[in-house]
Formats: sequence, C-alpha cells, structure tokens
Amino acid sequence: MSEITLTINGKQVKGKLGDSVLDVCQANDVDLPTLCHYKGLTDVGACRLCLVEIEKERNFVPACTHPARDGQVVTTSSEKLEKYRRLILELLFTERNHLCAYCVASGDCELQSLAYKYQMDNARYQYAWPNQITDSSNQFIVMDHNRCILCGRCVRTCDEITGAHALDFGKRGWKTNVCADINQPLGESSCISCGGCFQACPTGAIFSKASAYRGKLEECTAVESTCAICGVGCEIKGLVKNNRVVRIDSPDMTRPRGLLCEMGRFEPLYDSADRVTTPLKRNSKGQLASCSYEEAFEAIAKKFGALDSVAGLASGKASSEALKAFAELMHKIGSKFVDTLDGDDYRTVSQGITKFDSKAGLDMEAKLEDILTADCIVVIGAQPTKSHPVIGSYIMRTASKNKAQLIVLDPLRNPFTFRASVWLKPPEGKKELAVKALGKAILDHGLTKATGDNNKFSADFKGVDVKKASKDLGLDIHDITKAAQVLAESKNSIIIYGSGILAYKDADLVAAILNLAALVADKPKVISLKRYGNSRGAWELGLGNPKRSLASVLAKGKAKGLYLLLTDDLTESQVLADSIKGVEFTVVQASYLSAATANADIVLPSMLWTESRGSYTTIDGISKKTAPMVKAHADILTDTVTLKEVARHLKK
Amino acid sequence: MASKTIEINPVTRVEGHGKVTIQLDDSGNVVSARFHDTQFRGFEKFCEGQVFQEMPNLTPRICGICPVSHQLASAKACDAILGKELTRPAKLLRELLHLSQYIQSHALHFFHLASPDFLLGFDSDPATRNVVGLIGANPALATEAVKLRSLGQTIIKKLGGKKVHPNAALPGGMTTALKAEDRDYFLKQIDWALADAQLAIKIWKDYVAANTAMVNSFAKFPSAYLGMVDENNNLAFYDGNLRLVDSMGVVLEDQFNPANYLDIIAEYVEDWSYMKFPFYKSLGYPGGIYRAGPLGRLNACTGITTPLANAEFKLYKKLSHNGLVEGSMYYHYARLIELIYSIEKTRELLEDKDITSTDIQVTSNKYNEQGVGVVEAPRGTLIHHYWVDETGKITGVNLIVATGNNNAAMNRSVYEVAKDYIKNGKVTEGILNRVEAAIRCYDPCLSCSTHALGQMPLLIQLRSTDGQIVGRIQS
Amino acid sequence: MSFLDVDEFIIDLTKLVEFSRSPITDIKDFTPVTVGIVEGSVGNEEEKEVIEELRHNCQILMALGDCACFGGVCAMRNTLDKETVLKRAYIDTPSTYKGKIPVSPGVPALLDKVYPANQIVKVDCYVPGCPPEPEAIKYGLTELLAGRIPVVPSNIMRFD
Repeated sequence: MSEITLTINGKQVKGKLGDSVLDVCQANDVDLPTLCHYKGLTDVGACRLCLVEIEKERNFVPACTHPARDGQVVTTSSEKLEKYRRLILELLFTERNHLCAYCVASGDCELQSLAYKYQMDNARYQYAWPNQITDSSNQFIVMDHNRCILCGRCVRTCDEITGAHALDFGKRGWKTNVCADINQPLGESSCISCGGCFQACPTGAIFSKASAYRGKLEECTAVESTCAICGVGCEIKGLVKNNRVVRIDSPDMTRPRGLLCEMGRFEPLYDSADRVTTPLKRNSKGQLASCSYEEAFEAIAKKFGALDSVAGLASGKASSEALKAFAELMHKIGSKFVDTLDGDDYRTVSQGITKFDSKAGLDMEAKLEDILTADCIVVIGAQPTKSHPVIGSYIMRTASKNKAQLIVLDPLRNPFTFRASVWLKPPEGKKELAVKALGKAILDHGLTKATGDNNKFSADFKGVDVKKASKDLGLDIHDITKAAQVLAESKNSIIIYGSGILAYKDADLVAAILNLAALVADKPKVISLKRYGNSRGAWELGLGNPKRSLASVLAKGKAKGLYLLLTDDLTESQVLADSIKGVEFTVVQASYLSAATANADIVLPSMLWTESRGSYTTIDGISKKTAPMVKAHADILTDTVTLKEVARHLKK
Repeated sequence: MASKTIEINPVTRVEGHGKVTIQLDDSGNVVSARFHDTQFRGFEKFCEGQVFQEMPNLTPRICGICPVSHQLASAKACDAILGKELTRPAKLLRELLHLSQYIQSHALHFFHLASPDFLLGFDSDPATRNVVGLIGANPALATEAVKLRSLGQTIIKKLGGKKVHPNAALPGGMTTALKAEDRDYFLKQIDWALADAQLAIKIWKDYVAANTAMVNSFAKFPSAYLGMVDENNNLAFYDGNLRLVDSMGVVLEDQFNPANYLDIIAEYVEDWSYMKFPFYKSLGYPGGIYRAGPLGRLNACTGITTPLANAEFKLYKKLSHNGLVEGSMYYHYARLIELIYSIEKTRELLEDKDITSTDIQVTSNKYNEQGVGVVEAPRGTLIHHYWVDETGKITGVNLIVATGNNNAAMNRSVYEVAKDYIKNGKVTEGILNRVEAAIRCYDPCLSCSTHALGQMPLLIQLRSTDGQIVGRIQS
Repeated sequence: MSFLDVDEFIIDLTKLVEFSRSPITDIKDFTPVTVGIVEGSVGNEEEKEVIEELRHNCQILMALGDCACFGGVCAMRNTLDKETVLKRAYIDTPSTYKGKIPVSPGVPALLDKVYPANQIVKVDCYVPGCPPEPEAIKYGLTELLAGRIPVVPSNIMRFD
C-alpha cells in the first residue's frame, strides 16, 4: 500500500496507489457529482459528470476511471466544468421521458437531486420523446426504460455481485437499451429477482411494485436487522413508515451476505396469508373461535395433563430463544418425542456424518464465503438459486469472475449450469451411484490427494466399475473422467449439496459425498443446504430427533397430543395437516392461518421474524440476531413468552 | 341563417380553457349557442403501458383543482384490480381526504370564482370583478375565504405530503397515517369553518332575496339528475351506489352498482368540442341528458346525514313542488349545502377512534383483469376504469369525468341565458358575463373534462408601492 | 389554479401588482404588461397563437410549472402519434357512442407534438414543479418585483 500525495483544488491530499482520482476526492471530502459510479462496482466513466481537469492532461478526464498518481494537480470545479455538468443533465433529461411529476422515485432520485443542485429549470435541447416501454413482467421488479439514463449500475450489479449477468446493453448509440438476456421480458429471463438492480438504480427506472409510493426515504425509519428466512443470514436494512416495511435494502451490497434475494427483499412486503390475530379454541359447534390467552392456556394445561404421550414438532423458522423455551416446555410435559419439521434432513445429515466420521465430518462444514475463494465448486442435488439464492450468486460469481471450475451433478438445470465445466445428469434415484463413480474415477486415475487413512474414504468407492456405472447412468465416461480430473486437480474445492440429495433420506448418500470430499483435499469443505433460517440452530439445540420421525410415532399410536411450533413458516404441507388429524389434541403456534391451523384444537398467535427480536444460526454456524422492524398489529405475545406461559400453567 | 357570431374567448373564472360561440339571426336574436372545450391531452391512450400502481399518482394531473378526486377514483379502480378489502382506518382516511378536497374546492369556487358576480354585480367593471377586486372590497371576507380553502388543503397535505397532487391514496390503502396532534388541531378548526360556510349561505340568500326573479329564471330547464347515495339514499361522496331520477322525480336507476356504468352511460361526440357528452343510454341522445354535481346530487338523494346540512337541504327541497330544483343558479346553493356537509362530516371522521390508526395498507401480488373506481367529485360523478394484463400493466383506460356529465346541460344553459338576454343584437359586456355565469354555475373543470390541460396565460403589470406603474425591467 | 396556493401572499400581491388577462379575472384581451406568466404546454394551434401573443405583449415571460418548463405530463402523447391518441379518446373507448374525431372551427387542431414554452417562444425565467412550491412562486414574483430575473434556489425547486 503505497501512499501518494495529490493537489486537489489547491490543497494537498493523500491517497494510495491503485486509487482512482474519484477515490481520493471522496476520501478527502471533495465534492464531485457522479451518476454511473457505485461503491464496490467497477467504474466505467459513462456519465461524464465527474470530469476533472488535471494539469498536463490534454483533455478533461473522468475522475472515476483515471488512476490517481503522486504529484497530480487536480481541479474539480471551474466555470467550464460546471457548465458541462449542467449540459450533461440537460442532455439526459431530453434524451428520454423523465417525468418527475408522478415518478415513484421522485424525492429519492440521484438524477433529480443533481438537477436541483444545478438549478436546471429548463433544457435547451430538442426533446427526443422516444417510445420506450415499461417492462412489468417480473413479479416484483418493474423496469421503466423511459427513466433510464444508461448508467449501467444495474448491469454491473447483476454481473459482479449477483453473478447472474442477466442484464446488459443492447443496440447502440442513442438506441441503446438495457436488455435482459437476448432482449427478453425480465420475467422470462435468467433474472433471479434478487433486486440488486433495484437498489443500485439511481432513478425510478427500476422500482419495486410492493414499495411504490409507500414512503420516501426521509419519511422512513431505518432498522438494521438480519434476514431470518433461509439460513444465509444476510444483513438487511428495513425502511419503515407507519409500522409498515416500505422496502428492505442491503446496507452494502458489495460486502459478503450483503446481496439479498427475492425472499428477503420482496416477500416480507406482501401480506402472504391471513394472520392469526388472537388465540383460537374450538367452540361447542366445533368451530375455531377467538378466546383469551388464559382460556387457551388453561385448556392446554388441562388436556396435556390428561394425555400420557405428547409429541413436539418445531419449525426451523423459529428463533433459538423460542426453540429453547419449546424444548423446556416439552421436557416439562415429559414428552418422549421431539423433532423439527425438517427432521428427516437432520437424520440424513447427522447419520451420514456419523457413518463417515463424526469429528471429521463436522470439521468439513465450510463457511459460505469459502465458495468465493474456491477454485472448484461441485454442486450435487441442489438448486441454490431457488432455495438459498445468495449462495447461488456466490457460485455464479466465483465461476464467472474467478474462473472457478464448476461441476454440477443433477438432472435439473440451474441458472449456472451453462458455466459448468462438466454437467453430469444422472437419472433420478441414481445420484449415489454417480457420486461413487466419480470417487472411483479419481481413484482409478490415481488422482486422490488424501493422505492418512486412504482406505477409509476409498472403501466406499472400491466396488464400483466406472465404465459399467457410466452405462448404467447413461453418462459419457469421458465426462465422469473429466469431472474427476478437474475436482482432483483443484487446490481449493468445495462441495455443496441440498434438497435433491436430502430428499432420498439416505445417510449413505451423504457419507459418499463426504468421502468424495475427503478424497480430494486435505482440508475438505462441504456445505449442506439446510431448509430453514434456523435449521442449524434447532439441530444444535438438540431438537432434531436422531432416530425417528413424527410419522412413525403416529403410526405406532405413540402420540396422543401434539404441540406444533410453526411460527411464520407458511407451510402448505397437506401431509403435515393430515397427520394432525390423527392426533387427539393438537396445539399449533403459528403466524398464519393454514391447513395445519384448520385442523388444530388450539391455535396460538405468533409473530413474524420482521416483528420480533431473536437469534438465528446460519447454515454455516454463525449466530445472528433480528431486530423488530414493525410491531405486530394485534396484541399478541412473543413466542418465548407464550411457550413459557403454557409451561407455567401445567400442573407441577 | 346566422348572420353574426359572438365569441366569448376565453371563458374566465372557470378552471381550464373553453369558449362560447353564440349565433344570432338577421334580427339579432339568438339562434343557437355552444360551449366549446378546446383542450385535449389523451390520458385514455398514453396511460397504456404504465403499471397500475402509478395511476393514482399520474391521473391527478388531469386537474389542478380536484386532483384528489382523481387519485381516489383511481385508487378505487386499483383496489378492484387488487381484489382486496381495505382496512377500516384506511377507508376513513380515504373519506377524510375526499371531504378535504370538497372543502377546498367548493370554497375556492364560491369565494374566488363565483362570488365576485354576487358581491360586486354581474355588470360591474371587469377589471375588478374578480378575487382581486374582492380582496380590495372586502378584505375580511377574502381572508376567511383563503383560510377555509387552506384548511382543506392542509388536511390533504398531512395525508399526502402536498396540497396539490398529493401522494395520499394508493392501491389497497393510504400512504400516511394521521397523527393525533394533527387530528386535534383540525378538530379545533371546524367551528370557524362552519361559520364561514354559513356566511357564504347568507351571501347567497341575500343575493337571491334581492334578485329573486332573475335567479329563479336563470338557465332553468328540466333534466334528469345523477348522484351517488348510501344504502338509505342519503348523499354520499366516496362510496355508494348511483341514483338517477328524471325531471318528474321518477327513479330511473335505483341503487345502481357503479361498476356497471357501461350499461347505463354512453358518451356522444360533437364536432365542435373536445369534451364528450355523456347521456343515459335508455333515453338516447339528447333525450338522456342529465345533470350531475351539487344540483344533480341533491336532486337525486333524499337526505343528508349531518344535521346542519340536512336542515338546509330541507329548505332546498322546498324550493320546488316536487323537490327537484331546476334553475342552474341554484347550483351555488347546493354547493354550499355540500360544503356544510363536508365540514360536519369531517368532524365526525376526526372524532372516530380509528382515524389515527397505522393499519392502513393491504397488498396483494395477484391482479384482476380490470377495475372500476367511482366517486362523486365536487363537479359530478367521476369514473376511472382500467384494464390490466397479468403483470399489472395497463392495457386500457376509460374515463368519464365529472364535468363531462354536465356538458350538455352547460350548453343548454348557455343557450337559455343568451336567448333570454340578447335581444335585437344588443350585447353588453355584462350580458356576456351572464352567459359565462351560466357556465360558472356548474363550476366546470374543463381540464378534467377533456382530460387535458391547456395554457392559462396570466399577465401581470407591476406597480410600485406608491401606485405608479413600474418602468421597464431589464432582463 | 395552483397559483392560488400562495394563499395569503395573494392579498399582499394585489397591493403591488395589477392583474391583466388571467383565468381568475374577466379581462379577455392581452394588454402590454411587464410580466407574463404561462402555465401549461403548447399542444394545439390556439395555444401556439396565445403564447405568441403573450410573448409579444410582455417584457418578461415566466414559465410556471413542469408543463411549461419541460413539457410535463401534457407531453406524454409525444411518444405516440396524435391520430392514435385522438382515435382512442373519441372512437375506441367502450363508452363512446358513434364516435368521431372532433374537427371544426370550434376546436383548435392539435399540433403533431406538445412543446414546452421555450421551444415556441423565448422564455426569460422558469419556476418548475407539478405544482410549483408556493414558496418558489413567491420567490419568483418577489425577485421580479425587485427588478431581478429569478432562478429558483435548489432548496425550493421541485419537479414533482
């Protein structure tokens, strides 16, 4: 890091080698207007607003792309430069249809702010009035090309941060337009609706349907929190007005876990389903009707006291505090069966790790950021851009920017399979064979790097004949060999597996994946994609049942009562709803009315993650906290207090 | 054969731009008269391609006097597209917003636009027969007028950030809750506001007393009458069904669901005006002409739910044998009765416990194919009808705008007054002013009616503080 | 009409200025004046004539509001051709009965495009906004009364 000294507007300032002139200006509080610049993205010098005069340079240069050098003498403002800035704004305003009057972004628009700053009260150029379209095809995001200034911040965000590169420029000159893929409607393109473009857009060209007109930034309170939906744990900033979340932004998209996705950015803005606003109890007609908390607690205590077997089932969406209170309640009831909603996943993963090697298996669990530094990423049976979109972005970004090798093992297409070095498509049901064939291929070609107890890992694969397997799988043996080679030769590989593997409830399959990882690296790295925001927290609190599922318990008639802690899990599972019918007395603690609550005997309200304070453990074991962004409308108790009250009402 | 055409251009002391042409025969008597609206903008086409969420903010630009009416009708059409019921507090705030608009608009019309004729006289010097002259002649009244209008505007600003073209209503609810301290402040303004409205009624009644014959015969003709009513046929502005009665009082449409307006209303086009002519389909054109706005509404309804306004309403009904008042000049009276209702109802809403709630928005990401939003704007029934595709993009817009309902009636009024006053070719400025006054009864919003905005040039001569005209200003 | 939102200032103004032709007075003809204020954009033949006559009759012309300054919402039909727009309004809407496009001496013909004031005549000063901030209108008029050509300061300038 080499320090340099420049003179800016007559004053000596410091910068460092590698900075642009703009970087040095911003670090030293020198005001320069910008539009196409966005912190953390590559600079392109498109808008020309940051033109500066540098002694000995022939022309004005854009400060954002011009390297800062020791001894430069820079002038950022002069009569000519200010005149040019005003002209640029007038050109921008007359190029397209910038109608501030009714625009969603008015008041929060960088173009408008600059126009006000430069007192641009009219434009001297011919207005182009081009016929541009508004693309509303995406469920959440609207792209209004009338308001676009072609700054490219959306293009660069989608490329450099999201990694999808769904957006780019099409056509040329003044006909240039931002296009999705090959000029398709955004909703039909490879856009993954992460909303990064929306946050990066300086004007009202890209806006969110759910946020439109609900509040200007100055009218909102900003609440920093963590998203609790999928287990990545993105840091978020909720903008709240009148107790309603107007929009959810990232405090900084360019840092890790700053990207956000459609689940965290947009879904909380919609009223997904009807809320449970009061406790509910079956009345004399057998219908669920409002009752007081006291009545509900009394009824639960009475009933659970009389039943000899009560099971407990918790969703991985609940906070760790709620889960602890739940565990204590179940203990007090004397429950012999407690599990999580994703208990099958838990059993598969934990048994798989045990089969492999308990300690080593746990050590393999990598951090999400390890994907960003990997030189080879293997995705087995997962659709991360759907289930954990930020992880999907990490994969795409690393594959495209760092030229990491990507191996995909899944019959289904992913948005990033086009970047894969090898895409193996084993038929459904044969993933284990495919994994093992890969392992065997590595062994056959002597590619294994594993030291120490080789036999332990390779034993799993020894029985496989790669040629026969390839025929059996319908795969080209050269693909298998190539994948083996790529994986084995990588220095920093990481394997990611998800629901496509866990759906088989096969611990051996998990063990095979772990063996594969161990075969190719001294310090192998694996990430298992867990379903819920706090799945890992629930598992670490011991709520996953190591041996059996609720279904098996119910089949044996071993649960007469059930306490289902759903919180804001909007599960549509009919299986779960049906299984409740088989129980004599069910209490469901949930935010939303659903098929599950419809079959319950008592329903207790629950807050959403956006309404409460709680701890959540990410997929890779980091504990994060949410801060409440809004107050729940009804007078409802927190999950923890509710569970503690139920416990308190039980006979000692 | 018309031998002379008199043109009044522009019609002044109305919102928007229009002109009147009067055709005289050889002996100088009126053959026909027309009211031309000369503006056109094209909202029904250029709104296509917007996403519907933008419509409540785009359509208020149809008019600078009643933007709130458009925002509300638009928001209602969007609510129908969302297919979700608003929360109770949201509905209260929508109605409060609407009433504030009425207070502002009706006060503006009576005090700033119409009253110069009543207080200074139809024949007074045109140079001072305006709000400026009023300020000079009766500064106390002028100040009250400004205050009353400002009250309505201030409530609108609290609910939507601005007085004109606020951002208050949106699909599914309202953007901004009402703060308790603002509610308390506004409640304190009701009494003087009512006093101002009563003062206006007195000005009106004094004028009628001194000019009874003229008022009773001015632009008087039979017509049908259209207005929105609640389930008990009381006057309603924000929500309700439509009631249409004919000139004899026969109820042509009773509790008609406004969403089905296309079944009963169509619009005729004449060559000589950009404003279309809505009419009642069953009776064809021009037989199906009806009047909307204050006179239309009070003739169509059977009661008003607030006490002071209802007391005045009963007096209004006594003006004719069947409770249907036909003289166009009585629009002013009806308008003032509505002003009183608006202020009383505002108090009622402000006293509701839910008026300060923050539970004022519902959302959905599933859209119906179309939505119709109907409100009573100060000038008449206002209809916004949108069609959208599954992404929420507008594919079609149909607007039937308040003043448009009265287009035919205004034309008839202009003709009646011209015919009554222009004889043997004798025309004075005062007579022409009376012709314009026939239009002013309807408080037309000509920008709205053609969904257009024209040019309104305003010239100012600068005078220094000692009364001398200032010399040239060097640019 | 948003001119009237200056509220009480209008009373002060009446002591300092004399109003000529305007929407709120009954003077129909243009007379030579010091300041002319135009609201709205130019979209038909009559509006073009009016603004040219206004320009001819005033020493200083102020464009008030987004439509006069930039074209604004009035100019939204510019991305389409005028025939399409007229056809929708007067023939194609579902409530129109026996529609036809109005053409007669009673209505001015539309220009092909809608123009901001400064594309038709020379404009001396601008107060943008939709509507303009009352403070900005007051600022503009006060500056003119003081003999200066106003440029609205950034903190009271608005385009919405």
